[in-house]
Amino acid sequence: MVTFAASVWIWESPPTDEVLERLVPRLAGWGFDAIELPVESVGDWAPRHAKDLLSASKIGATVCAVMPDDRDLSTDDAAIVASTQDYLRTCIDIAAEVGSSVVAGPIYAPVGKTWLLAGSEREEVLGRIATGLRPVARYAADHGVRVGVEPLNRYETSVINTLEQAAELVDRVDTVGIGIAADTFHMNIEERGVSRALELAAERLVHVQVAGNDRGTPGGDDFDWQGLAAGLRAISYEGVIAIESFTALNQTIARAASVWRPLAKQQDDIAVNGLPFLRQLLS
Amino acid sequence: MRFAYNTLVYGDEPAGDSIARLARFGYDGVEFVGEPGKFDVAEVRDLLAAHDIAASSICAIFTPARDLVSRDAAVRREAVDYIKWCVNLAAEIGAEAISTQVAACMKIRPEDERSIELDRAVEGLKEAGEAAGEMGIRLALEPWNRYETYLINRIEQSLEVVERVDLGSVGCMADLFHMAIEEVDIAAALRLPGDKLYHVHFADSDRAAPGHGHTDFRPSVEALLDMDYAGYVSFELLPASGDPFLMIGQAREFFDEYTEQAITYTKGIVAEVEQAR
Repeated sequence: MVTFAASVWIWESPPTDEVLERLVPRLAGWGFDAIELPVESVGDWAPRHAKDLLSASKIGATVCAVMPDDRDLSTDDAAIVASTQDYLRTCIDIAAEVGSSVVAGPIYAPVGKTWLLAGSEREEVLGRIATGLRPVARYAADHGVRVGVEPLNRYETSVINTLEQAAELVDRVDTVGIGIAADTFHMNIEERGVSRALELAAERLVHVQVAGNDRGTPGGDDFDWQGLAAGLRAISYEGVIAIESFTALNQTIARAASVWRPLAKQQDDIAVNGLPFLRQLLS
Repeated sequence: MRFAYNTLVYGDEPAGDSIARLARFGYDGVEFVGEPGKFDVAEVRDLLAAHDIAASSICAIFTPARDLVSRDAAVRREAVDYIKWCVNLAAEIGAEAISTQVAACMKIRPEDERSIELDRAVEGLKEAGEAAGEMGIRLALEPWNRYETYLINRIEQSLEVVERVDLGSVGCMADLFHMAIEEVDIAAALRLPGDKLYHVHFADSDRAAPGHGHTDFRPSVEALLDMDYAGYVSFELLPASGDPFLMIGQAREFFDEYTEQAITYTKGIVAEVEQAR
């Protein structure tokens, strides 16, 4: 059975204790099973406090890693790799504390870092990322968490754009603590077929993020939702389906996600109207 | 329906090779890149005549030096003059339309308030549009996806500017790759400008040849037939890199393979749609 979450980023960035105090009960009231909690900077929100809020509202959490310019496993700068690994281990600790079984995100390179990966350089970069991820994935496995490698579209990264490329990295790391996180917004741009890509990811798939093709409300848009349903059914996916969208009102997150116009009349619509659509599609 | 192919993806290939390829695969028109010095006008005219194929359109290239909404008046001047140069080029080789934008490609940071920048866009397009009108050339204002511009992402935003410009020579343009990211109903967005839709780019969801990705082209073809769309459907296909210019001329499948697939696949869809009527 799949469960349903909504990301804090639909409304706010970064999450804070005060933001979670407002959002957690609202999401629970709308019928969500979980809230998706990005870790932009460690300390933005207190995991222990979040855990109490989640218990009080009887919902769970999923945790996302965030990759700004100074977090990078594709670089040959050992200090940056080490601090990125430290950050990811902290995300795993946070996930374990709030009861999330995944830490999902583009954990290989900074979002927006794009360059032409010619022939042998791709091989070199993937090798470096796999080496950097292996101890992190082992740490995750030891804590009952899986790290989900999220492909991003061509404008946000040149390293991993498709689930097939993510699978290649996951297979290289070859540890139970690692898997794939799929995001329908990126899949819509990069995958030749939605269902086919999910079938290829198969048991590696540990997390799914969804949004309309324009990153607005799921349902009533151009994304191949039937393809998503067929693909998830074919691989018997039983994880979380998290709605991820971004508010145009917060300049930092709007610019990070290239959101130049409101994606819904009001942000609540994305969650409130998206949930029944997804339940009907996938339950 | 008339078909063209944007030669942008052929990179530095000699114009004669591009024209010969498009004629060979049954294209009606050739879309040329609007860049001074890229080809010899007299030679291209002879080649087009020799291969019995038309020039469909000019793909204008907008750089930080050619930006209609820039705060810098000299940059705005350069952009208007550049479009006028494209208009002359179009007239010389017999092209009908120019794909036009108002901000530099890949610029995602505004310089001023949106309303101020849109005022500048309208002002620049009016001047360039009047020049185009005198030559019988049409400017088609193209929305780009959120990663290539912050200003005009949707057809409705293009139409708003076009209506303010209010010239017969300035209309809207639609590109199905950008629309697959920005429009929740692609066919409805195509229908929105009505007879102000002046130019169309087709590409699949991943910007490869139609048939490669997962875009359903039937509703779009139906919309264009319903509208009696008389312009070209031009295939603008580009490799999967964040900066579309990064891999131009290197990806060989965009030469013969996709050039043939694009027109064959799309003609098949048109035949299916027409047969169902």
